[in-house]
Amino acid sequence: MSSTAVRRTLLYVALLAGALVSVAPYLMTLNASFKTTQGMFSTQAWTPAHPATFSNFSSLWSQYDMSGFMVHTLIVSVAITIGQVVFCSLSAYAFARMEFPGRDLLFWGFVATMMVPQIVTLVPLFFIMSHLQLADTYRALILPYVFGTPYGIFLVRQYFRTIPPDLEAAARIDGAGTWTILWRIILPLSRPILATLATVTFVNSWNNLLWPLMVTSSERTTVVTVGISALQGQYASQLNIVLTAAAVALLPLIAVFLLFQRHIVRSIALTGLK
Amino acid sequence: MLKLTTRRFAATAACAALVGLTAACGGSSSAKAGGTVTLTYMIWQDSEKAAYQASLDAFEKAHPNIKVNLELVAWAQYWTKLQTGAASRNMPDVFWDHLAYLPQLSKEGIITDISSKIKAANLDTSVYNPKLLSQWQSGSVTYGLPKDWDTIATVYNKSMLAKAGLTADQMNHLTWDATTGGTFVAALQKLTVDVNGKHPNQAGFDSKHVKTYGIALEAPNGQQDWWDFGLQNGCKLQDKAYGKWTVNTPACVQAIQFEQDLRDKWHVAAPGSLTNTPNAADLPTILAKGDAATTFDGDWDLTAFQAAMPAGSWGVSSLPSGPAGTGTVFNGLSDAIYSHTKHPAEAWELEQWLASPASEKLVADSGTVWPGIPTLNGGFAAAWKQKGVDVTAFQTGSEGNTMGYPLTTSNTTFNNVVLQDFNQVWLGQMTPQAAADDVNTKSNAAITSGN
Repeated sequence: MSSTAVRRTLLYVALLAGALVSVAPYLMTLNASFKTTQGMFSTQAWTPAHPATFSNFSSLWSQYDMSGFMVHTLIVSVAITIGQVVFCSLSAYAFARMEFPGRDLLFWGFVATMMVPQIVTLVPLFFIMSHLQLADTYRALILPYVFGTPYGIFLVRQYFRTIPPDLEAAARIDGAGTWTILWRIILPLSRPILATLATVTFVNSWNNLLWPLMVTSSERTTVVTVGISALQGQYASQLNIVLTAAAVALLPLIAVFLLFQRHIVRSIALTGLK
Repeated sequence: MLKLTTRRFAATAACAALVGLTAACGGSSSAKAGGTVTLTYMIWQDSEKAAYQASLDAFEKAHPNIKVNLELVAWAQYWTKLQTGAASRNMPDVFWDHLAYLPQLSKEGIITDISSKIKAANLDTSVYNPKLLSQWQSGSVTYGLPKDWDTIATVYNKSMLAKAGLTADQMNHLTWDATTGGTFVAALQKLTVDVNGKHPNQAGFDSKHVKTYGIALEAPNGQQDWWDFGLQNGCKLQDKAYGKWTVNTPACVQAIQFEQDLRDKWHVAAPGSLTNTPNAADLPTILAKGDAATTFDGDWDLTAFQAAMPAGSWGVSSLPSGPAGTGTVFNGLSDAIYSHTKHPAEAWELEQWLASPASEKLVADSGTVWPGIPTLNGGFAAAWKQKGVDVTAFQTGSEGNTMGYPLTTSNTTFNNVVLQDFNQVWLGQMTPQAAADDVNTKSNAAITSGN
């Protein structure tokens, strides 16, 4: 065997090991969701569920409002995702292309808020929502995130800046206005980054626990993360049910990723983001 | 002009679509609709939800103008949520209260003193266990009516007991002392088996490769382990309720030393690497996996044992008694009323119902929790007997020598320090005396500084 072949084999072994380590927790979660409670404790996490049981899934639906959790989360995540894509595109265009006094200062000030952890704004935000009488509504879940985030605006702005200004100049000569330029030229060229933003936003909204936990209190607004966290007892919890719920909650995310996968890879290749 | 209009139109349309979407999804947050008041009742235990929902259904039937929204928040997030709510003056109207948090909640003035309401309603409080009721009272102030109680008992694996030649009756009468270990350690030696089938008191026992330990002890603060050993050894955690911590007195240190010895000297208890919180598996899991034959746990975990282990494979016995006799921690919860609730009258109605014999009977008879009203205890025991488990050891414990949950404003500091230090003690990296001194000093300092 030549040295290149050896090196290549070693590389693949390393990559395979890395892939296994990354995927293993998900596979074990999925595997655990087919085990009985006693089967879970008497076998190792990686031992295949045998005989496989669907009882965890049925009790998830019979004892808990799993479909409700999923539908609520879907409503919130889709609303936030649409809002983010719309508002991040608008403000990113303003920050990337429009000239107005204090633009860069405003932009960097805005981006600087990315450094502030969510926990710091938790109490004030909750205070605002409860004074607006919005606690325990969908509006409280959606409003804080729907008008764009510094991260989203930064991401899209950086991408807009890679689009040649000449393209825009040419369009202006042809009589296009700002809105037409954004709608007909910039946005169609930015599909990969918008797909990335949509995916990241959807995943973050889907996985957000802290804010929904604080601001909602009734079953009609319970999202999936809050629902799953409530399944855990003070000291002991029914792990197989918790893991089954986690596995179910994972499915929509996998679907979203598969749907936008091509665009995400392309946008990473284009912007050099990692 | 046209361009501007288009632009404005598009922006308005986008906003309208979004606002419409969010508004369409948003339910009404108004608590009062058509004369009906909606109360929020927050609890933390999933296994108790069904019983309380049944109780609330009965309450709503009797009070058509009150709706109760039962909110379940896991213990891990419960107090964070409550405190965030307190800071924003938006808390559930009625919620479960724990003695560990009572002093802070009352100091902050966010729970209602119900003593005048009790008087006005002419409630007979003598139905409650006096030890439980007094925990929620301080001077002339009452912060809640006892909802339930819990004690600690031994939970064991029946077949492992039989294999070691031990009977349930023997388990109920074990004794320990710090020097010889007593019949308690002797029993645990029989239950502890290494990979070669040898016991810790036999030559050639391999303490590094133990298949099953006699016991697994685990508690984030001591409630299910050293507090009980301490009580059995004459140790007092505090000089008085709301007083100073006294965990570094000889009786307490000796009890902590005894627990360390169970691990490091006699090799009959699972090591800290297996049981230290928060990374360890919970006690029902440890027992179900066969890593230990017995454990000390509270009755709140009975449902978890029942789910994790085959029916009829486990049993409950009393805790061992020590040099100072028997002893177990005796704790209980109450329902607290938020002092700034918009519906104080309705909240008091709910509190009264939840603490009434009718509701407590409903909850106890379903085998959910032991009731705060002692005459209803039989219902809980009967429910578990039907499931094939004799749980009376918890009740025997409650009727014997008990200590209440420590009442202090320094709970947060105590919990942090005790977890940190005792995790080291159970790994054999810190002496019981040093840990007790540290916990005592820091917790007492927190009382003075008001943290």
